[in-house]
Amino acid sequence: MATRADLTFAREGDVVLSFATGTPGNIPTIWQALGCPKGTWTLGSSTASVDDGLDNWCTAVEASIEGASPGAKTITLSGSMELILSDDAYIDMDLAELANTYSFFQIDMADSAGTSTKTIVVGGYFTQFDHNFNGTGPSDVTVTFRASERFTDPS
Amino acid sequence: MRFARDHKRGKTAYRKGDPFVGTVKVARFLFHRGILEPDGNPMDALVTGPKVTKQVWDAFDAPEEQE
Repeated sequence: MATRADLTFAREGDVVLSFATGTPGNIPTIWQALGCPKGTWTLGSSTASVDDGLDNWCTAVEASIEGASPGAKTITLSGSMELILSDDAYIDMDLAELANTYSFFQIDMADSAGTSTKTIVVGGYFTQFDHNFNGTGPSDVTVTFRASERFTDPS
Repeated sequence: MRFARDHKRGKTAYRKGDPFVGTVKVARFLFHRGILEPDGNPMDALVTGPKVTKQVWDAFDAPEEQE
């Protein structure tokens, strides 16, 4: 079976998003695959494109989560991103938003050469989860997530 | 699992052959990009096999306790 390393991708970076519910301070062990973002991902006040490469992605993610001031930060996964939601992940996120359940996102990032990777886990609560059913496809998903904790490169 | 080549993970640099210490989820992400390779650890099967969809402490095929 071929692995990703056997294949050639035109994209410069490689990012995988996962979602899970849990409790503060405890990184979940079981995750729902959320999808691979493409194009532009708006994170709070920071915007980065996958095509910008791993470094800019990490910078944007960390800037969005940490920001210039302490305390919780809002992460917005806007409709400009082709967020490919799986059915299971969509249901879990919908329920978590409705019940105000503490949730986590895991962001696995790799550069195209596979020489550098990074994983970031953020935990917090949803403040918004909308899906625009106007026929434009699953890219029209808006998630606003109030992140209150962050783990960088959790084992 | 061990690193198949020199690799930088976050701020930590690993040399080829260094053992990987971490979760199955992260290991699968790295393995499918050619960064990790099996080294005989019991974890290898979980990383290289089909995706695990239940807690690893479910004990899989462990025999049920006899009353």
